[in-house]
Amino acid sequence: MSADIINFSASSSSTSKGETLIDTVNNILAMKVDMIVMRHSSPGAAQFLSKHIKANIINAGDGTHEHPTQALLDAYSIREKHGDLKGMKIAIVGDITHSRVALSNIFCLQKLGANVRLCGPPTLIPKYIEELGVEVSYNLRDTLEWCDVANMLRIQLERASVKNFPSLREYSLFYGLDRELLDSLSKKITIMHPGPINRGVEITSDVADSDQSIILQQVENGVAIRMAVMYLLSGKN
Amino acid sequence: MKILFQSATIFDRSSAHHLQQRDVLVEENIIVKIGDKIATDQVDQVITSNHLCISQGWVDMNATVEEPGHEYRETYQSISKAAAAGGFTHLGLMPNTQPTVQNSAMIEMIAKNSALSACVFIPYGAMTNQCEGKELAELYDMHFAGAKAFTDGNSAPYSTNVLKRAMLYVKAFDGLIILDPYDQSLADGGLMHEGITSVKLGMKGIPAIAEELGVVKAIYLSKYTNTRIHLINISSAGSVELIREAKAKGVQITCSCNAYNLILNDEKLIDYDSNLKVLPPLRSNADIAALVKKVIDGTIDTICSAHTPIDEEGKNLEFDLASNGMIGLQTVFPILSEVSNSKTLAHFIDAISNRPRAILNQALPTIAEGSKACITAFDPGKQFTFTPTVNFSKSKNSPFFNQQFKGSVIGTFFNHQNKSL
Repeated sequence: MSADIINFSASSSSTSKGETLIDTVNNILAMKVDMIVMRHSSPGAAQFLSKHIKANIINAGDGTHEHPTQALLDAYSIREKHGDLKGMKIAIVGDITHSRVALSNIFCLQKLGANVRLCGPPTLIPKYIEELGVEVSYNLRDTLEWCDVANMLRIQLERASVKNFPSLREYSLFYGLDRELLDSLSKKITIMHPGPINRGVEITSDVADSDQSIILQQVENGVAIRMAVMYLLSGKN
Repeated sequence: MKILFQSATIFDRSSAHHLQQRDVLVEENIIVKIGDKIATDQVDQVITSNHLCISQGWVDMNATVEEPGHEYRETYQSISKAAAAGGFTHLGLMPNTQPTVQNSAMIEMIAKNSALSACVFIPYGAMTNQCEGKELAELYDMHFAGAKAFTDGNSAPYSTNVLKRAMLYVKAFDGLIILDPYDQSLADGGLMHEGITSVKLGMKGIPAIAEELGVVKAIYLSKYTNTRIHLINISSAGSVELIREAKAKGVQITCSCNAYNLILNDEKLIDYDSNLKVLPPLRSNADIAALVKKVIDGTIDTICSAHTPIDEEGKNLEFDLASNGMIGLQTVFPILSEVSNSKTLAHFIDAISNRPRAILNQALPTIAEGSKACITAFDPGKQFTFTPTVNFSKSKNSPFFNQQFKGSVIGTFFNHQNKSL
């Protein structure tokens, strides 16, 4: 898109030397940046920035809060495959508590008229999330029988997910999707995953690579969606 | 010097003039006359306001001074000015300074600072060394040096067994343990009250049970040790119900809530304002309603400021990285003026005047002729806006700046000093 890009990562930046996020970003802005795409580990980090600096900010994931462009590309990918989302049944499976993808997907899919059910171990589902108008199930087979599309979230090995269940083995036994389970369902459902996949944990390779999976279409659509977001925010419409 | 409080409604249950409108004349620190109409000639200063009220000087059982250690946040001098402006004549100070208040010398140092100040600092000693919840501090020695209570402060870690030991140990001198029942393990790194708002904001919630289970433990330990305990930072409806039941059964338990928990709910966090990052966290409207009700019926004994000064570097950060706490001494009464009415105000004043004194075994000043003056003057109908200009704290971590409140503190009159009057 012909933009000039400055890449910046916290681990190699001053944020690890005591400089605050505001200082760091102000320094970047001094270079006359028009737009910031930020992924940050703190919930609300993008909103925090927006209160302090004048630039277009794209939230590319703020901790366990939201990941808006992932939701847009997921919704687009479902629509590409199935058409109108109104009345569709979408399951989001896995670590809901630590997932920014889940929350953005819930908001986006509900806005488009879809029904959302969450499934995972009770320790990975926030206590009050049903108040958002979603269903909650702890049984994967029931959930897969119910849904048209299953979005299998990545188990966040680097975050707190792993403290909330006994072992990856047990997780994959009860919440992992393999070919046998997929084939035993009464209808053909669509499989999604926000990537990167822990093959053999949330889904097995033969499910990820099956003709029911649209995982690579999600990746492709992600490029287009993110180009569109940047284009619209740059004011060149 | 003669000061006349003109047509003041008196809030003092121990006085014959309780809830009566009177003129009160103070001369050289003594209340010399209380009457219907006292002549103003030869009076040096006349205090008037549309709805002038006076009560016994107010007591805050939970304030943090950052001297020694972090004097850039708060000193004894700055906190005493903020306290006087907020109507407080007595402050219970948390021991979490650097170094920790954990020996008799530190307790004596606080008493010395008190003598030079507009308000009395009530020293609390650490319950355990460094407030780490592991080894008992020298409680007996601190008691003889003047410590009025023992606590490890706000949201400190504690072991149930060490707490039991401390409660048994202070029986020897009828000491008081002050506990924040917050259970760090159950809070599990939570950033705000657990509820639908925490879900929407993607922030880990602190369940109310992280407080309520601590309350249960305290109740059982108080029964077991037959020792009194005071719980600070009570914020959930479940906690106050547990405390009500325990009190009804004769358990020696008292408790405080914080003024901000009477007015701010968790939905205010929608903008991730780190000035609203506090422990206990802002809770639900149902919790707020329960707290207000239980202050009125006396289940909640006292209301505190939970004054916690934090510098900008500790607050102007991403929400999860910011420190917990807000300054609060100057906004306690403005908040109470919002949540009370003419029928309930006396209960809220009780919660910052006579009730905390009873818990801390402090002498109760009386608004009566011949008594020493220890007076806070206030007007529940005089609008007040808390601005950086009127803030006496060295820190600025308040979410209430530029907010207008119904009521205002007029000032304190105490110890020959006349503040903000």
